[in-house]
Amino acid sequence: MTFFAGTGLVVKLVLLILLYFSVVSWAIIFYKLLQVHRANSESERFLEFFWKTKRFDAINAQVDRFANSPLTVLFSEGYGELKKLMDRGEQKEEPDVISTDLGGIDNISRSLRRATTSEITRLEKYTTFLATTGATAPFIGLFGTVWGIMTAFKGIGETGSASLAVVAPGIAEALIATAIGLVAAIPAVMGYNHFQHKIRVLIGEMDSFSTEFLNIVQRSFAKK
Amino acid sequence: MNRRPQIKTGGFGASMTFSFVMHLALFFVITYSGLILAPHLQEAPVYYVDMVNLPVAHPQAGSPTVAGSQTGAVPQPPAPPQTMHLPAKTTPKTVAGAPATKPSVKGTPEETGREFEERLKQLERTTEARHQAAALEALKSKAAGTGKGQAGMPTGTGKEAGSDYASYIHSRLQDTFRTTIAYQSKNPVVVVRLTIGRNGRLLRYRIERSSGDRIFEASVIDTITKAEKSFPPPPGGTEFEQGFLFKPQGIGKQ
Repeated sequence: MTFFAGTGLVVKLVLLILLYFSVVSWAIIFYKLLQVHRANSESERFLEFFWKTKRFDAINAQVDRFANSPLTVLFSEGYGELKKLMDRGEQKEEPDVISTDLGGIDNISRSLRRATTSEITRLEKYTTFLATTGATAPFIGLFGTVWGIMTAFKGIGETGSASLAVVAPGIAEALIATAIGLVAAIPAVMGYNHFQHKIRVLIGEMDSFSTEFLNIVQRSFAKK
Repeated sequence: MNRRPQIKTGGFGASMTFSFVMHLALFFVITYSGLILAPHLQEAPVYYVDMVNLPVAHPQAGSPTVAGSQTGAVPQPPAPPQTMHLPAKTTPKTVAGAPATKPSVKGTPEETGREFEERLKQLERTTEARHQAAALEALKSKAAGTGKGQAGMPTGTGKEAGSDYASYIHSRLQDTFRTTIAYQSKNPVVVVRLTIGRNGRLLRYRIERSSGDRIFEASVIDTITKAEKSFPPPPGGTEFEQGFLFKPQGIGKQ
């Protein structure tokens, strides 16, 4: 506590900013670890359930069991759009058949793309803060160090003494800012890279699922 | 009816709280474990010892007494010697205001002190005799050489100081050689024997050894021709003959 109390106002401010960056970064890391882990595991379980179950309405009734999977959201959106098209077909006295002439498949494809985009946005939420922390925290720490060293040298000039006991505390206090900047930045950069990789994998899974869903719809429901 | 699944992921607030608690714990652990450098270093105290006024425990010991400046009276420095003799050994009784607790010296340390004094006196006498002999020699040389020749010229004769005419000629050649030096082979060497007449004029020069570098030889001859103008008459009114070794690195005497 003593080292913090002995620093100047600017260095204190820098340390508080860095502390904020670090706390929020770690909070995002924990949150994203949980989110990505659940998304992966529930996607696996959902795919298994999806291929086992033959009926879309049965799958749709169970989607809440896999709520954290982005594939579930895609399925819900696709199924919703399919249901609308089929309802329109019933009105035309052609139940269980959707027309490709009026872009029925395209409608489903568009709804799947929209769902994919919204899921990507949800998965990437907060990761930009990690990138910002990784990029700026070392510089903020460096600013605190430079300011601290300037203050230390000013103090040396005023006291007229350049002994180790006068110089060292100021320099040590100043360097703490850089150290904390790095402590905040390193996990943030590592976390950002890790989550980007995991999100790319999930995007790939969503694209594959969309394609599969459209294939099934075209095989089973589209008018020949 | 289309419905989006309800996401059950824990809120961001829980993660935030956990992160804050973790940072707080880490902060206290680091602070109280002393991992961070304490900002106020203890400056090592500096002690100043008054080496002039502090009495010493023993002349041969050479270290201040433990009592130091706490002793009441300060011993007076010994009187400057009137003659070249060593000052008489100051006994502890003659030192004014010497501390009462001064340890008495007896036995072996006293004998060692006497031997040391004897040796010191003997060395003093030997050095004094050498200095006197050297001063006498210098006075004799000065008296013998005074009033001869020009200022800055070698004025001595025979083996007197300043009689090295060859060194003077060498220095003249060396100075001129710096301005005329030129060569094309790797390590050219030329040995020239100069004969200087009584009036200081160059009578002749003979190339005794040549490395075949014509440019270097020409620069050597040029050096001799130019330096000749500054040659003084040789001491003793006789002709002077000396060989000089010319190299790109400089000139040596043969």
